Amino acid sequence: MKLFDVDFFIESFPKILAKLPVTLLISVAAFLFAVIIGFIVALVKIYKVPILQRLADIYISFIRGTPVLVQLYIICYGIPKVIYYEQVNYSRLTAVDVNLIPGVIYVLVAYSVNIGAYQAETIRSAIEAVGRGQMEAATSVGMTRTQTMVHVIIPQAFVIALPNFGNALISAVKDTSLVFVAGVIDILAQAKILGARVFNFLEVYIAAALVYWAICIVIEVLIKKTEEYIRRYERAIV
Amino acid sequence: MITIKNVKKKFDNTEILKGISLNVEDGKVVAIIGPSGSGKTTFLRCINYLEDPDEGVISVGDSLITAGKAGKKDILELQRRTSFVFQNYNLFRNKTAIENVMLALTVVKKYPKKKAREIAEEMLDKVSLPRDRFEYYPSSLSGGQQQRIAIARALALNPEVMLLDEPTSALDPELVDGVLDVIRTVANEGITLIVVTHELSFAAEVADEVVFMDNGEIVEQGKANDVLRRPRELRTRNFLRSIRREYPKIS
Repeated sequence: MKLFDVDFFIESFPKILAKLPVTLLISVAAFLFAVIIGFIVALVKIYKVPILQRLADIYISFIRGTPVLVQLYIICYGIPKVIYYEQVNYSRLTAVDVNLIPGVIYVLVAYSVNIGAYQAETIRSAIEAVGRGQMEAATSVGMTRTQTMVHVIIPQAFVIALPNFGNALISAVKDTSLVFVAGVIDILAQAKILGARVFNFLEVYIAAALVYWAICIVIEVLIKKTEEYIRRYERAIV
Repeated sequence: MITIKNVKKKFDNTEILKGISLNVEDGKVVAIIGPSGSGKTTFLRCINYLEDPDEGVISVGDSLITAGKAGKKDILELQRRTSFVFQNYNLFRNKTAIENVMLALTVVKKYPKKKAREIAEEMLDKVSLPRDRFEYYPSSLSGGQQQRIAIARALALNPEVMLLDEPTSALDPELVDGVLDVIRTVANEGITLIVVTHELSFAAEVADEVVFMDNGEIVEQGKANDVLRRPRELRTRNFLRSIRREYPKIS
């Protein structure tokens, strides 16, 4: 018996790597949706919108207080059931065939909602960090709230939030390794399948780990470069 | 013409403004002096609706707002007729010097970029910002330069009144005179100014009228020379004496 079957490792590696786009697509898309959700929730909290503010608190608390795997189960079993219920009881949503909805949709919904809750707090604190002073200055020259957001606050809040965005994206890449629950075959699911064929798991899991590690390093570098570019207006005194 | 009638403002249960009325004719310079906590800054912020008063009427030119009955549009209209210079400049940190001045021109007044840039250059020249600093970001500029840009930003909108909240208080002492010079130039051009300041000699020289506020009300107002040299009220006298003791060279 071998501790580590190098041939099997080399043979499986490209097959696992081939699923990298799936992992990337899910994590990047979910992350982008999450930023939109997070921004809306952050605005609700900053402007203290009645009722919605309460809902936002409950949403954030629930997502942070429950495992992402449980949230995935709830979405994967919940959405089809709701659609089916509507169809049977009220003849609504009949254009949808529950069996044809790809698992990736559930996964995207679950992760967007999950990451969105965390991003809401990041974005809220970033917007508040820009400071009241500049908001007031914009008001004093007659700019509307939206104009102020677009031209003054968001560009600066984005820079402040960037390191957190980087961490969140890296977490997203790793956290999506649970998507086999919805029948989606990503890096880890592929590794499981390959390993199960020959009952040799260590090699494929190490291969999967290396792929995750590499992509996270790449993301880290990209974020760093972006940050350097965007922070150019914060140069010290020349 | 600026008319302010009976403006009141409470924060929680503390009455900050206890009914302030003030008329300022076009082209006049009014200096508001008074101890800290007297409500000077809050009053100035109410005129720009950075703070919404609980009661009172504010009218600048053709725009008139009654507290509590103002719509968003009325407030925006008032804000477009007034401009504000802050104690700590509050420049947009993601914009260069010239972009700071241009932003409201392109976004609020919808001027084309070229026209906005011409106006901005003219304004920055007026406040004597060196031309080689036009493309600098605020973080690379001194406090004095930042406050000049803030004044240029306020001027560019061609407001009916410019409100200045202790414009030199955050500056290093050696930079104060330069900024005061700029304000003096602006005043001489006939723009209506309301300045909250601790610079008594500057007030004496530039202001047509001086208002002394204490404890949320106007205690005394009149010609700059009268209020500063021959104050009628005891509270004014005590305040002037304490300030002169603290900053003997100013008076």
